[in-house]
Amino acid sequence: MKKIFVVLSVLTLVIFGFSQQNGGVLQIGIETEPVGFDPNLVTAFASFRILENVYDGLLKYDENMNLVPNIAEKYEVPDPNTIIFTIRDNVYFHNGEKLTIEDVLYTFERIMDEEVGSPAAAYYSEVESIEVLDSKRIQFKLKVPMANTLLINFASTNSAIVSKEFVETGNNLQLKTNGTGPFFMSEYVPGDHITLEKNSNYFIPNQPYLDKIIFRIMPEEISRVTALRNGDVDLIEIKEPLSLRSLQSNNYKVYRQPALSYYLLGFNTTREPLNNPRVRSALSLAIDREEIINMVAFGEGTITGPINPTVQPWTITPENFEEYEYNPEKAKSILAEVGYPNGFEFNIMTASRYSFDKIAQVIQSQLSKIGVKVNIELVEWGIFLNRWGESDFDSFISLNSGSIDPDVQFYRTFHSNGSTNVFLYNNSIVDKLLEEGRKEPNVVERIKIYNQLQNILVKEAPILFLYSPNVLYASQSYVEGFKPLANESLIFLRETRIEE
Amino acid sequence: MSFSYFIRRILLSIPTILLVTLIVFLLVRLVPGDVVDMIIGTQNFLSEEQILQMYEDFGLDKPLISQYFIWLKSLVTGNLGVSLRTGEDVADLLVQRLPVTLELALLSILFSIIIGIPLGMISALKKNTYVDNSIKVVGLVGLSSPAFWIGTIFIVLFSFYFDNFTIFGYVSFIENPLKNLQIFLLPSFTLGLMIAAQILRITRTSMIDELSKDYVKVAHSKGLSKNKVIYKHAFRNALTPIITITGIQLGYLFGGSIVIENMFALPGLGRLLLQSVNQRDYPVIQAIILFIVIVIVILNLLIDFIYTIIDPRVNLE
Repeated sequence: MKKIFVVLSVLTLVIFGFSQQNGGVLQIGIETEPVGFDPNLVTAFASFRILENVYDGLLKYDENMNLVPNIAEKYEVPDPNTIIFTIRDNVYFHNGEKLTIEDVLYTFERIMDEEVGSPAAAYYSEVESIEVLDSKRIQFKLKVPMANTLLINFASTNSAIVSKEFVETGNNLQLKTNGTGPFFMSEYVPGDHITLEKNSNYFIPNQPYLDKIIFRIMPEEISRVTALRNGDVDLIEIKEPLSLRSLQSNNYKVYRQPALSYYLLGFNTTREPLNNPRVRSALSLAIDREEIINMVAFGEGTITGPINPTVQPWTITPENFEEYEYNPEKAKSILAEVGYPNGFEFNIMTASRYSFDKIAQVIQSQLSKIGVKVNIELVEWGIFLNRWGESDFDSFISLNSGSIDPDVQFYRTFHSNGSTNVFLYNNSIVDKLLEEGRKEPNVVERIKIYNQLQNILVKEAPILFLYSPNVLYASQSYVEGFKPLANESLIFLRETRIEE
Repeated sequence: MSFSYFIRRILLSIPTILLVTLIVFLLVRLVPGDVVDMIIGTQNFLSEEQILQMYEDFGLDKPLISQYFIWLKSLVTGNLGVSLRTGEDVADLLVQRLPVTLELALLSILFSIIIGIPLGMISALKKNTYVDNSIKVVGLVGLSSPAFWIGTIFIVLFSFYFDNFTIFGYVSFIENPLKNLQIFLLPSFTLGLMIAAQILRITRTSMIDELSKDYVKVAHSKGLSKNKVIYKHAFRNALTPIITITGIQLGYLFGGSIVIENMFALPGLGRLLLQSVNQRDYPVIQAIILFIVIVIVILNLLIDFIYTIIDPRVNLE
């Protein structure tokens, strides 16, 4: 009897083990190294990508970028000024401590504390009060009726829940992590790798599948591709679409996902002759976006209007804008009408990262066909940022992160007081629409507002929206369940596994 | 050679180091863009007050001259500060990264000596033959090919033809000596080749120079064996310039390591330096440069010291 029991239990274990297909170590080659690990403080994209697997927010995104519950098991918006979250009862920090509603309250007080300096503070500037209703519920009261707009911020890694006790006992979160996520950070060797290990106490049963993830920092693209090819790593991020050509075989899987981020040609709207909206929109007609995508990204991109074509229901897709037609003749005649029959000359500031410089070169050649002479100023990234911040440019090429909510993307960019309005764009109608858009509770009305706004932005062209690149990853064929997201998040590593 | 001479040299190098600290301090701050710009990027969510607060927290709101003296003061107490970007202790960072760069440097020098000196000798002995000419061409190619190009070629070649050869994934020597050496093989060979070319040239010229001198003829006519003349007499005298060049190259290796460490994903000082320059992480940049300067000063001292051993005629007084 005893023997049978032993055999049975071994068998169950074996079957259980197989059916789960758990386990394994995944090695990922990434380009950039995280700078700091405090989820409420970090601004570097490379830090987010690690931390979103270590910490959890109240909400998260699913694969189609819809908001879904995470630490909060549900959320309610009883009126446009109020959000109530109900948290799960079975969430534990990696040090074993249970997550309570006090931790949630503490996290948001911490974020909103000026002294802490959290970049997420700005999201919550319209929050009037935060109140714990009972041991499971917390209520946010807003000064303005923008609950629906505010919600997406709860899915940001910057709003991830930290442990009150852990922080108050003097731990520096920039150096030490203690989250509730599917993995905990077991090792960080700066310049070399970060190791995440499975949190066997994760609140979603059976997740994560992997025992261990090792992020290997490999700044050079050729090194990452080679490491994948000779089996040193299992998954890599790809920054140069050209690399895909050396991975065309059944041994590799390629993942592509149109990103929310978009390339732009931004103008200083106070400098002659680019201060004239007609000049700017003439340039739009003379730029062949399709050609840019083909020449710079080898076809790995999508033409975009002010809102990414995948962001429903807000987007107006590019074919609906007459300024998106490639028509150099018309561009020339507009320039002649506004007093530049022989064209003019301006500078494009650019840096040699993410193909900015290559896009500038294609635009330079395209604009030369209508007699506009472009001088490319190639500067180091720090210098770029410095001049960008001071609006010290005629124009520049850059990559902006988009959002699934138009307010998040537009307000800071185009409002005359917007924090990233380096174009010095100032249009009182646009300001008014932006202010109305963030407060409007009715979705149909909001869509109308943002439709109008998109049309104005394309016509006036303080910036030219060019294209959204594809997020690209490649893996060995045995990697299953990995999905890149449009916001370039790696949150799906918790569902990734290795097939034998 | 006397003890007092070395003390004097060491004291003399202090003003050099101080001057370098000042230049480095000013240079990194003269470049437009600072760490706060890098943190904000192009997605600014911070308020004016938060930004000012950040400058204050980093101590960047004070006048340059007082920032400099604050830094010097903490240096004297042995405190290198913390990274502005990550809050890590700079001294810890250096200690973590140093072994990688040191191993890379030593292996590269080893490769360059193994390749450079014999080839230089052969070249000198077979002066103006086709052997000499082909070695000269090899040397010229080595000198003029940038490390990032040679490195890329190696990476591609090895990944295509040696499937099981691990190129990436640093492990320390203590952890796994065999894998460690395998990882370091390509990067140190790449870097070694560049220096080998220099050593080859200097070995060739200085050997030719020595071999044409009268004492060599005398040695021959005394009936000494050819090998004895070449290795015991001529080579020993030719060594002085070779050592100088090798020593100077060791200093330059830090420069080469920046490129190579990035290429081969090695977590060394060079990579940390590049990253901190990109991030404008002043305390880290300053500490690394200061370290390199001190190493170069010490190297120069050592070279002078070695002269006196090889060539007793050299008098450092």
